[in-house]
Amino acid sequence: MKIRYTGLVLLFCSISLFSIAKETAQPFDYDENQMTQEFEKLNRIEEFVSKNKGLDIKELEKVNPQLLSDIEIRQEATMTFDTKDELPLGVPSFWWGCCLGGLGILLVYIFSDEDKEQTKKAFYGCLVSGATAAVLYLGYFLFLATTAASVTY
Amino acid sequence: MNPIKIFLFVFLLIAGSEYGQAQQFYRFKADISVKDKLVDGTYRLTMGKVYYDKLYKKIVYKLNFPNIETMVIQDTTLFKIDKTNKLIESSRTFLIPDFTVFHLALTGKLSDYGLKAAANDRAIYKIGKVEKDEKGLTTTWVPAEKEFKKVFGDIKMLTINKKLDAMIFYNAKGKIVSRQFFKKYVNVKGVEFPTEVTMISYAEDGRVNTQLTTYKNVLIDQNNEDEIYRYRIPITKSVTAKK
Repeated sequence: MKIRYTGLVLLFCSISLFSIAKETAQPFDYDENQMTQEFEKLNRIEEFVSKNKGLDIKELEKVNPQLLSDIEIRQEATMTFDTKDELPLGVPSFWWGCCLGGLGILLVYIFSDEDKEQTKKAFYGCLVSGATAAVLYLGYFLFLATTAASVTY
Repeated sequence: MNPIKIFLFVFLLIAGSEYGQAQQFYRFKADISVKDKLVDGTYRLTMGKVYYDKLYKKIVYKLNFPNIETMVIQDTTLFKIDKTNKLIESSRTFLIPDFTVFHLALTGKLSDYGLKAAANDRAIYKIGKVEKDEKGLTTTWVPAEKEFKKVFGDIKMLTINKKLDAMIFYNAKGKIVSRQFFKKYVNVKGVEFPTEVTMISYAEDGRVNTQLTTYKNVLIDQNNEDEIYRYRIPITKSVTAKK
């Protein structure tokens, strides 16, 4: 039961990282031709790699660079649920630190699996929020001081 | 009553139940190809083989493109291993084996994506509405409890001839966040499996992330390559290991 509950929560979190501005008219409609066109260049690469066993992307760049010339292809594999660069609720690390301060930094550190880059961003967020608060307080006290000085008895 | 008939009846009853037990499928293997078109306009192609054993709850990807490497998902951790069998990195993942298409197909729960709670389990989703039209049967699943409605949105499911065809995920505000399609089913040893799975995810600004996964040469209950299904995570880290 715990696994199912956790599984559904995590599955939904991973999907809920995105949201759409408008709903499609026919959500169950699936255009196979569009998919074929969308991935036409990748299909050609796939076909070539299948026929030439043992080719990785670096070998492909040497053997048949034309296949990669007019497509921007990433060097790393897909891992649908690899959350390395994502955080729960899709909130950037910076805002975790900015809004929650030290607690935000700690949460980012845990959720990002001790990722230093993400933790640094949260720390900067915390610094920015601290600096903003300091400026506001300084402005407020200056205002008070100016107001007090201008009062005549 | 004729004793032979009684014997045959008992024999068939036992044989039938044994056959039923044997239908607890436990292993899945296939050639896999994943094509991504990302929101920034870049593409990704991943090719290799996927292995899943229901008993070990381990998903093993033996990849040959873009790089020769192995990825193992176990207990919400993703392990990346290089071609010399050294650990490159490990990271947290949202993927839980019980909710993969492999596990659901092996356990015969793919038609409702495992949303139907077992008898003693607390239901997270319940059926809200069922509609039948020329397309098929559309079931709307809604969060079972009030607290869940704050976090989860509805899920609409289309089944055609008792096979899951499409799923639409909504967020708590009622906007579509993802659409998934399950096409080109094959039947291997009694396991129905979609050899084309498409996922379309929508970003807040309306940009779209598309992923098409195709499976070939599906094998059920393979009885060799045990060492891959049970893949032991290496202790030795690669010199380029990030963790």
